[in-house]
Amino acid sequence: MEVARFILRRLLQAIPLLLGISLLSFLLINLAPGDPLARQRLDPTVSSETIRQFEIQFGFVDPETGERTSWLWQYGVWLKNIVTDFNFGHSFSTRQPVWSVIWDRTLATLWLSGCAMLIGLGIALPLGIYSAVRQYRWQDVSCSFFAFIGLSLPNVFLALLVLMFAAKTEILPLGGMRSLDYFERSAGGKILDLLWHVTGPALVLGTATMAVYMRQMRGNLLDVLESDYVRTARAKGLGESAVVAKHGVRNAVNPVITLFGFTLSDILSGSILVENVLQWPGLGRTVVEALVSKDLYLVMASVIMSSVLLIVGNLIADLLLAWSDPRIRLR
Amino acid sequence: MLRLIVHLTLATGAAMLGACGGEPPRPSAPEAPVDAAAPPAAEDGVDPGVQTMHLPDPPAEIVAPVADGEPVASPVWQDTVFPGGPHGGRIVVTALGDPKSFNMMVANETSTTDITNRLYERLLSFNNVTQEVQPGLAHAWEHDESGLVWTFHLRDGLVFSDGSPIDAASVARFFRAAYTEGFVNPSRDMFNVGGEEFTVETPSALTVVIRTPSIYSAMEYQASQNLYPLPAAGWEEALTSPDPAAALNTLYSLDADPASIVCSGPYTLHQYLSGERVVLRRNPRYGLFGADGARLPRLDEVVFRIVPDIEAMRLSFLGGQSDAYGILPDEYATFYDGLDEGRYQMWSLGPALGTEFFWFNLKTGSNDQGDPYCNPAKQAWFLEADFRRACALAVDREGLSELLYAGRATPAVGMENESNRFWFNRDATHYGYDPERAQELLEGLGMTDRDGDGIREDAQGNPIRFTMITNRENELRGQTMVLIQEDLRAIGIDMQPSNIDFNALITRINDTFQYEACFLGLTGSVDPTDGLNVYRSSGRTHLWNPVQETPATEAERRMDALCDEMLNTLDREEQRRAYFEIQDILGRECFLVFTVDIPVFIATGNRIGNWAPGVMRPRAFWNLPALFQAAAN
Repeated sequence: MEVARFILRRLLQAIPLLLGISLLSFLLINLAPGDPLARQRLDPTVSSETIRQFEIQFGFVDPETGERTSWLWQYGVWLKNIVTDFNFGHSFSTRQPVWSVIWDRTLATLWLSGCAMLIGLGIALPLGIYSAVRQYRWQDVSCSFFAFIGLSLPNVFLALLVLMFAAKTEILPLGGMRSLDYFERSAGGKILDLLWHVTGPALVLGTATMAVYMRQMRGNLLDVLESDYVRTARAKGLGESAVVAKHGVRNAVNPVITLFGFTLSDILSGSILVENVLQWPGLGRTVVEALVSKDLYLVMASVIMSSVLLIVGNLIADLLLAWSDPRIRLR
Repeated sequence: MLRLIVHLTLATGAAMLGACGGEPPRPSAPEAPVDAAAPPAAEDGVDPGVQTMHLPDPPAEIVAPVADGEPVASPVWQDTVFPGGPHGGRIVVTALGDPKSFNMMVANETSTTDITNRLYERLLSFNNVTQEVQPGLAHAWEHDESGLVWTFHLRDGLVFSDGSPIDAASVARFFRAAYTEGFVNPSRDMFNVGGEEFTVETPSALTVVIRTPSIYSAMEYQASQNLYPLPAAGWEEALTSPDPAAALNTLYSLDADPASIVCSGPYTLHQYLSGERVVLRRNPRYGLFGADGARLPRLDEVVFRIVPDIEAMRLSFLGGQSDAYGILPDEYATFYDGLDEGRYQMWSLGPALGTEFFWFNLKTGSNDQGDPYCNPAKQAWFLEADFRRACALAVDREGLSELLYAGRATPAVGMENESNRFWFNRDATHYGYDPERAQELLEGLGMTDRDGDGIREDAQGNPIRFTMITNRENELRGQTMVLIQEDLRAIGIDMQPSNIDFNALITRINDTFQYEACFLGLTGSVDPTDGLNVYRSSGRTHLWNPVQETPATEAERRMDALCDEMLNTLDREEQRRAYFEIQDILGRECFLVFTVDIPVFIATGNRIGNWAPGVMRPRAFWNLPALFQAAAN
C-alpha cells in the first residue's frame, strides 16, 4: 500500500517535469531556422501550391488568415491534442502517428540498454568485490587498470573498434539487430541470434558504466570491511567468505543501486552514438534522423519517451534500494 | 491522319544480339593490355578491368500495321535484352535511411522511391541505360494531330498481385487519386498544365484516353516515371470514403499490413522492420517474361538493408553482406586494388546527373522591415555579368578535381553533362579556367587593387568582399568552397566561406533572401522538363532571383520564352533546340557558376548476374527483374 502510494506520487511529480522538458524542447527546435519542407522547397518539380498545402497540413500556416503560426500556438495545439485525444501528432515525413514510428525503436533501445546494464553490473560487481578483497595486490591493480581504460575510452571509439573487429573476424555481426534469416529460425535460434547481435553494442555501452560500478563497489566494500560490525562478525568466528557476502556486500551495495538511476541516463544518451555507428535500430537513431529532417512531433515523442524511460528507471532504482535496505523508508 | 508509334518491345535489340553470336550484353572489355609492372594506364579515363555500360542501341520506331484503327497487340510482354538465368536466390542492397511510406503517390525521396518503384509498375517503362521511354504496361500509345489527346493501349492479361486486372479503370483511378482535393501528392504537380488538370476516359477495358487542356510535352516521360495504375483493393475504398484525402494520406503507410498492399511490379512487400530492413518477395503474377520465356523476376527476394551512413554501406559490401555499392571518387583506388581478388566488378558510368554550382543573390529590393535582401553596394557587382564571368573564369576545376576527387571529376559545362544522352548541349557557352581573362574583366569593371592589400576595390572604394554559404552536412562542398576561396583570392576577390545547416540555408535562399552568394547542388534528371522551374523567372527554384513578377533581365525573358516553347511542342527536336539555347544563355550569363561533374563508379558483387548499371537511380538495380543469382551464398 505504502509502495503504491509512493509510486503514484512519483508519477504525479513527473507530470510538471515532462511539461517543462517538452516546452523547452519545443522552443529549442523552433529556435533553429527552417522546417521539414526544406528539401521540397529546393525541388524544382514540387509546385509552390503543394508546398503551401503541406504548410497548412503541418499546422505551420493558419488556413484562414494565411499567417505563419507561432511556436507557442503550435505547442498549445500539440498539448491540447495529447490531453483530449492522447494524440501525440503525426510524423511529417511518414504521415504516421508518431507512436507507431517509435514503438519498435523503443523496444530495441530497451533491449540494448538492459543488456548493457546487465553486462555492466554482472561484471562490475563481482570484480569490485574481488578487487576489494585483494586490495593492493596485483589482481586489484590490474582490475583498476582495465576499469580506467574502460572509463577513459569514448563510446564512439570503442564502437568503431568493435565494428573493425567484426569486419575482420566475422565473430560478431556487422551491425544490426537480427540476421536476415531470423524469422526462419527456431525459438532457440532466434534467442541466440538476438544475443549474438546485441553483444557488440551492449559491450560498448556496458564498459563505460562497468568501470564506474566497479570502482564504486570496491570503495564501498573497503569502507564496510573496516567497520565495527564486520570486526565483530570476524571476532565471533565467522568465515571470511560469509563476512564478505552477508555483512560486507549487503551493506556496500546501496550506493551502487543509487548509481543505477544515474547511469541509466548515461546509457540512454550513449546509445545515440552507438546506435548510429553499429546500425542498431533504436530510439537514438530515430532522434538523430528526426532532428536532421526537423520532424518536430517525432522529435517530441522521442524526447518524451526518453524522459519517461529515465523517470521509470530512477523509480525502479529507488524501489530496489528500499527493498535491499530496510532502513530506507518510501515516502 | 493519326500518327501511330508502336514500340514492339526490344525485339530488334535482341535480334542484333543474336547476330553477335548470342553473347550476353556484357559491356565490352577494354582491350588495352595490362602491364603488370606499370600502373594500369587509363584509356579514355577508364582503367583496364573497369567496365563501362553499353546496351545495344534502342530499337528503331516501328510503325505497325493498323487493323480497324486498333494497333496489333503484342501477345506477351517480354524483355529480350538480358539473357536468361536460374530462378531463386536473393539480392541484398543497402539503403541510406528508412523508407517514408509504401504509398508511391506520396513518395518523393529516393529512400522511398527506390523501394516503391520495385513494387509498382509505371504505365510505360524507361531504359535507364539508353534513356529511352519504352513500352510497359501499355504496349503502344499515340497522340492526335492537335497533340491534346493521348491514347494508351494496355496489354491484355496483365494483373495485380491480387489477381485483379491492370486495365483502363486502374489508370483512371490513378488520376482520381492524384486530383483528390486535399491529398498532397507530387503526382498532381506532374500531371497538369498551368494548374489545369487532365481528363481521362476509358473507351474500352484496355484503352485509356487522356485529354490535356493544352500541349503537355512531358507526357511520355512522366507516364514512364510517375503514372502508376492503381488496383481497386484499398484504393477504391479510400477514394469513396467520406474523407478521401485523409484515407489516401494514410493508405499503404509504413505500418500497413504487407499482405494488404497490392502490387503491380516484380515484387510485393513481405516485411518491414523499422531501422533494419525491407524485404520484398517475388510477385508470381508479374507479367514480364524473359528472353528464355520464363516469367520474371528471377530473384525470389530483395532485401533493402537500412544503414545510417555511407561507411556502413561500404563495410557491408566489402563484408559480402550486400551486392552493390556506389564507390566514392576518393575510394576508387582502394576498390581498384581489390579488383584482382575477383569478388566484385567495377563500373565507370560517367558523370552523375546532378550538378554543383554557386550563384550570387540577384534579388533586388527589401523585405517588410525595409532591410535590403542583399547589400546594394555588393549586389551592384553581382548584377554585372562580367563580374560573374570573372568568378567563373577564376575557378581551377582541374585543380579541384585533383585535390578532392583524385583527378576523376571533369570540369562542368553547365546543368547537363555527357550522362544525359539527348539533352546535353556540349557547345553551350561556358567560362573555363582562365584567371588572366578574369582579371581583365575585373579591370574593365573598374575594380582595381588601390591600397595594395591584394584585394580589389570597386570605383567607390569598397573592397570586393562577400560571404558564400553552403550546407555544412556536405563536407565535400565545404572543402570545394575553400578551394574556390583561394582561386578567387588569386584574382583579387575576397570570398569568405560560411557553413550553415541545410535547413537554415534553405530559409535564407528561399524565404528571407538574406545572403550574398551560395554554393549548392541539384540532383539531376534526364528530362529537362523536370527542372524548368530553375530557368523560369517566376519559379520558386529560380535560385538566383526566385518568384519574379516580370523577368528582370533580357536573358531571363528569353529563357522564359524558351521554357514555354519547350512545353508547347511535342517535337523532340524543337524541344531540344530550345533547351540547347537555355543552356547557352545560362552559360553566357553565368547566373549559375558550375564547378565539376562528379563521376559515378559502382561495384557489383559476383553473386548476381545480368548487371547493367546506369547512371540514373537506382543505378545498379534498375533492371531488377532480369537479375539472377549466379552463385550460392
